[in-house]
Amino acid sequence: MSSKRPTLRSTRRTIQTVFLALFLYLVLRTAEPLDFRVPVNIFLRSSPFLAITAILSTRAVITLFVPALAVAVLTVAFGRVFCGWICPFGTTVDICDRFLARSRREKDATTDIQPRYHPIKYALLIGLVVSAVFGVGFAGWFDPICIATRTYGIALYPYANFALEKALDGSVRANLFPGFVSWLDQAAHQSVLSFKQPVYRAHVLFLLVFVGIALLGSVERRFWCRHLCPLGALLDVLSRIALLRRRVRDGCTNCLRCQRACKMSAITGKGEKTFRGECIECFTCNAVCPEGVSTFAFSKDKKQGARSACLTRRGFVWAMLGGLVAVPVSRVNFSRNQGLLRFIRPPGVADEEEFLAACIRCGECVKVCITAGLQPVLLEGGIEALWTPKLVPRVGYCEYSCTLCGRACPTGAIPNLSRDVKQDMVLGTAFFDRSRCIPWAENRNCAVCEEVCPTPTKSIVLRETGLNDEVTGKPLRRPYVRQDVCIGCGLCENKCPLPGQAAVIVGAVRYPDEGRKRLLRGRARSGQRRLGWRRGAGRGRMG
Amino acid sequence: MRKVTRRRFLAEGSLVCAGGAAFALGVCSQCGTPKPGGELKLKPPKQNSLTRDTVVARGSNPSEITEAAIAALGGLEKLVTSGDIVIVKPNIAWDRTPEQAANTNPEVVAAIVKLALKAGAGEVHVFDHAINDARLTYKSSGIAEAARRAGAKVGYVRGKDDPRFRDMSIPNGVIMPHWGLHDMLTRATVLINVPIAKHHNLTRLSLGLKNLMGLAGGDRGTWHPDIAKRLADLSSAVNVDLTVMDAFRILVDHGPTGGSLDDVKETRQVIASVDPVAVDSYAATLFGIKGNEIGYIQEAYERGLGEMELSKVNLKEVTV
Repeated sequence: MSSKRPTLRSTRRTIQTVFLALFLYLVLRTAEPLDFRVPVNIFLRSSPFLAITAILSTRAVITLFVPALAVAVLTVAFGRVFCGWICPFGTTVDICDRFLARSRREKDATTDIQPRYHPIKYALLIGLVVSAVFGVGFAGWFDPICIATRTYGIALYPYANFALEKALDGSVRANLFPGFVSWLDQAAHQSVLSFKQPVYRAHVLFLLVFVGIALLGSVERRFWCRHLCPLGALLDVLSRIALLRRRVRDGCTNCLRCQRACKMSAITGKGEKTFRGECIECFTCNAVCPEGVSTFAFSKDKKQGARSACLTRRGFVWAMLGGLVAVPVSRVNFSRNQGLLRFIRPPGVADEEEFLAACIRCGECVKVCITAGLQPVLLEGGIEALWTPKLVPRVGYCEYSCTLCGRACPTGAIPNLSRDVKQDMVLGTAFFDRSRCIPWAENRNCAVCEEVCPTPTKSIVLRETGLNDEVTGKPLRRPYVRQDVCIGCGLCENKCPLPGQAAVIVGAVRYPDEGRKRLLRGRARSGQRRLGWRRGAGRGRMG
Repeated sequence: MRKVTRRRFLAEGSLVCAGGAAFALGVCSQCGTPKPGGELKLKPPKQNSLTRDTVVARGSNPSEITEAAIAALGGLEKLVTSGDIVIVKPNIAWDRTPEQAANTNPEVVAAIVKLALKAGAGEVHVFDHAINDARLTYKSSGIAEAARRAGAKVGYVRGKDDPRFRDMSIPNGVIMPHWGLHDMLTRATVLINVPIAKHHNLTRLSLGLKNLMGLAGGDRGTWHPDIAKRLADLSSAVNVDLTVMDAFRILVDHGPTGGSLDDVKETRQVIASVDPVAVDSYAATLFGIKGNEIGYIQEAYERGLGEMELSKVNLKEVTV
């Protein structure tokens, strides 16, 4: 490329890089104090696919998704610009595809045959939308922005943090340039490094999903985007009426260079036609055209458009059926019968059904949690709870005045509550394992749980026993939980000095109705009411 | 793919090797098993010519009474000399506001920082090993901002595994021969303990000796069954040069966290002394408790770390 003026392709590459960098920076800033000017969840909120499925499954208008509406409008006007220029996962796929260039077979540009697996994305889109109507929240498993968030934020970030942190720790200990190193250490920890080393449960799964998708690049470029991405499918449909279209002016020599170079295989008709909905406006065709006749323009001309392989009627019916099948697959859940679905959910989540419908499993709350106590659920809650967040107090407790998860949640599944209201939320209820608790099992005084309890009148009390401490001889007092005051934040479980499992454990909310009442009161107090047509049947669903 | 030339191989290879070596160096330098005690030496007590009195300063302004209390001891110049590295150790353990009286009053901390710098201190460091997330406690306590504005260096301690905690021997330790302590204790020359007086269910009161726990890393929860002995061990090792107790607001119940203003009492005083036990023993009386009723005060007294009997303490009262 020796041209002096930047081509549209190089502009696009720059912008792609900028958006990927912004995305990665937002992932880094998804942490206390969460004060960056751009909302850290803006990319997730820009996905029309997540917007539609979340709105259908919660049956509420979620105003957080206004950016998604903007992306939909953008797509109707200009085509799949989001896929080609903005999507951080698309850019990631582009980068991975470069590394896989050698293992790909040279594209046969002379045939226009669309591969068999092309309609999978439409089937996924339809199936997930249908299942969302029935309140199944599986969309986030397949949404590319969710995948990117989980890959970078949950799977890769802890490793990057570890490497940098250890290098810095080593410098702190080596004490070579104490002033500079100490400044660097504090500065790094206030910007890119995590305050404490995060470890996320089973993050390798997220990594495997990503590696699997990336490796598909050895078959074809942008394999994920062309054949699998449900967001791509939705934007594909929207972009079919877009006004910005590829136009090949007179003078095309049918050299097929554009057709060979197109990473979406969107060019057909010996280079003169374009599959509507497939083109992501990457402008590579313009850049490679030796005659300079490949251009983009606003027009209503349909002559140069071609219809790409779409879902057949039969495929459409099957996809809908698949979406319906997802409903019992999710709901017929043995964990429910065990009563095990009562995880310690993030603060303000009062209704498990509502939460499962609204949560997109993106991992924002897991990444932002100030103590890293929020962790992804695996299969212990059945398929329907996979990758939703739960609090693991031994890892990290719910910090009394912290409201980060509610602020980072892109769908409002975790309500964004004011500090006062959040402090009133009940996550669970603590109980004692008296067979291990030091004052109960060993007759020694210990009061760490009582000491750290953050509720102003203490949810753990010490009562006189009439016995004495077996070593110091002082009066022995034993701890009890005040179940009506306990908010289940897990600070006691986190700080219990026993090795391994704690002797004070947070279990399911003892009085769930009280918790729900407090939430409604709190929402009313903070002026938060969800818009929409939420039916009272929220709890009447199967299961 | 570009061809790998010899030049490129050498250039890029050496870059990668340098990066790898730097990383390995960083990792190795902290992987070695720390020798218990090792060659690290905790700071010795600093020679000073402060009076041996225990000063109680009363008044309506926290920073004024702090200044008055220290002036009554002879002024901080009698302790801090030019170039000293001073640790001012407040209680910043809890995510609470100053009004809730769970952390040291920020004005008291700032006043001491200013006096230390005025006396010629080279560096003043303010930190605590917080229980709640340090980013929150440093902010809501108001201490980080007040101390920084006064000229102190305010650094976070990032939890119990912070690399700054290094295993150090406690020569007079009865049940704790060594423990991970903040490495600033090896660099510093002066340690000023600035606790707040408040209720604590296990030890009855959290006072000056208890506040020293913020210098220790690791699982401090395991200390609790033998807290009195542990605190005396710790106190014997760290050599507090001056204790300035914030009793402007005290927390009389539901400590050490508090949270409700109903449990806060305004006693509007600051207690200062070079004798850490005398300060604690006097502060206990604010709660209607005698020093010998507090396990760790009794223990520290028996070890000869200070005077518990208030009849033998030279009390000096100042009102601003």
